Amino acid sequence: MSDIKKNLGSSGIKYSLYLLAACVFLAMLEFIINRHSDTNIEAVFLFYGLVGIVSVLIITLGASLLGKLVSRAGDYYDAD
Amino acid sequence: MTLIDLPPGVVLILGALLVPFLSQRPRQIWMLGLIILSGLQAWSLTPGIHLEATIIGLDLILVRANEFTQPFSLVFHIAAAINVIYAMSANCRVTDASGLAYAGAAIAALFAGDFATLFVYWELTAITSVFLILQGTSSHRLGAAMRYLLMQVTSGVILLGGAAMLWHQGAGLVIGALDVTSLAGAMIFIAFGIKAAFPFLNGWLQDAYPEASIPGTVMLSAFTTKLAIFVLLQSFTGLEWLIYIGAIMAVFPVFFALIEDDMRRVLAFSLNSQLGFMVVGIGIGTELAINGAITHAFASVIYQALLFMAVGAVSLRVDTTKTSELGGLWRSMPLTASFCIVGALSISSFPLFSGFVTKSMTMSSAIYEGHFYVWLSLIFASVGAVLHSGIKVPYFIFFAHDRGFKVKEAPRSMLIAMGLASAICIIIGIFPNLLYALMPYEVTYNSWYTSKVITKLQLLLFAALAFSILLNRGIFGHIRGTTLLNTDWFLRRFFPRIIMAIGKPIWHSYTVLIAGLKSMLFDIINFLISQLRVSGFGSGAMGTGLAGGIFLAIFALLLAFKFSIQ
Repeated sequence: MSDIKKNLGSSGIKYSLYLLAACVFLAMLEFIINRHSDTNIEAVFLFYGLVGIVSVLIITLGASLLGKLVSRAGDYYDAD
Repeated sequence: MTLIDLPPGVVLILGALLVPFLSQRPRQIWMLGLIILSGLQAWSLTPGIHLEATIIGLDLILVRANEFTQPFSLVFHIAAAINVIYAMSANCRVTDASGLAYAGAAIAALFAGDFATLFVYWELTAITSVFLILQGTSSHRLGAAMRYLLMQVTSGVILLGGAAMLWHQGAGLVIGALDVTSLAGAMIFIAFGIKAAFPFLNGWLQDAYPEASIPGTVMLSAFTTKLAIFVLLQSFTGLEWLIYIGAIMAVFPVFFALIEDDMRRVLAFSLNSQLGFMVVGIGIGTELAINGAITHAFASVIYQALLFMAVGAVSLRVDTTKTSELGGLWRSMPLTASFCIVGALSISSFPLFSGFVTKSMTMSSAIYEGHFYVWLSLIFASVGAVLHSGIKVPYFIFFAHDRGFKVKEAPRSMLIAMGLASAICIIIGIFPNLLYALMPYEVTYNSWYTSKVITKLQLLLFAALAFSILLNRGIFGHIRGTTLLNTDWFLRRFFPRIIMAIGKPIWHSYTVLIAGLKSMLFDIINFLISQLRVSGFGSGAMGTGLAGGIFLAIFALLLAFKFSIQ
């Protein structure tokens, strides 16, 4: 996985900072705008932001576990 | 009957026969002209039956338009035209001819009013499209093409079986709502499910699409699966199973797409996930949900093709689609990068892009109908789309680590095709009413509520932030140089091994038995001959004749025994 980190380079951190600034701005909007909600749970403060973060964690963890389960050698089917 | 009276799409199939004989420029003009002709024909059809025929005693409805055909037909024609433009630089007669015939078969299938006619076009889409896979350059293309053909033809055979059963029961062949609990309905449901890439029936999609030629993959992404969505709408709207099948379809490919190294395969998983949203919409079956499924299908044909086109252009220039081998291409291919970002923003449902005004309709319908967990799973799958197609595809190809590629921008025809697709994504995103006007039911849904825009941005940007932090910390990434087992494993490994495991002992026992019987028979004959010779009876030719007679008698006895026990 360090290979991925190396591939990202310094630009990765720069993009993260931009995203962080945008997220702070969106979180502040929660105090200004009265959001419409179809369900009670949507009324929770920053519900969609939290769902986004939790989903990423689940997807990341799930994908890592799945990778261990289903990845085989590149020539797996060629061996037949 | 004049040419204009033919079913829309058939003009393309017939016109494709001439394509291999035309040189490049006349061929491209011919194909675009035919697509415009077929498009005008389709657009002029009002809802109702337009062409009927009785063939071998079957009353067939060759052309029928209804409230669903117009949006699907329009997007299929647009996709066909964009494909022709995109494929111009490849200048391949086989790709052009098979691509045009494939588009024609898919369009004609939209207007089929009965299952027998649908079957003909259903199989024609399979046969014509397999050439697009065979035109690929990978060494795996032949196997992938054969497995693709097997699955597609099997789907057609099951469809035909279901249709025959309906006809036998006196229910007629007219395409309409079906009961999935009946055997005929279940068979047709499975046939549709194979083409729609339902869970466990989806392996062919990720197996075959990435093996096709560069323009071939773009063509494949547009028609087969969306045709399946169209026929599901015709026959199984409101079927509750579809809600759960669709939710599974939307969620599971997300995990695969994230760890897959090959960008074209990432997009194949992504396509599968997007289909899940449409299937959920069909299952919910309310006016909002159906409008959501159709608008999403429309938008998805374009943005998915756009992403495949961008990856194809990159593949043409750097000869790889591996995430682990790409990076920094925005300097060499800035226009392709821009178009890819438009596709990525569209699939991510970013405001001002097509996915935003289409996907949210299905999600809203899920929560309005009380499907809370399905709604959550669709939000989850939306976040997945942001990660695998919204971030991973453009970021790892065009940004991330600069690998020092010094290549030319994509060919002009590819740029024009990508530009057109990008324009459509943006136009739909900004003026959704243009698309909503084509829907079967009046669209009262407003995507542009301030709170909808803000909540969508929160979902997307917080997810992107979390993902970028994980990437920066090196916690997660694609898996390099491996094969991911998918449901095609059953076709490639499991069933062949089962057949071998069962078949081998049976074959072995059979050969041993036959060898034993043969040996026993010859022993008896030799024994009889030797006894006759010893006794001096019937020596020479007579003895041999006698032995032959005895052999025939034994053979006759064996035959009599065989038939007596049947």
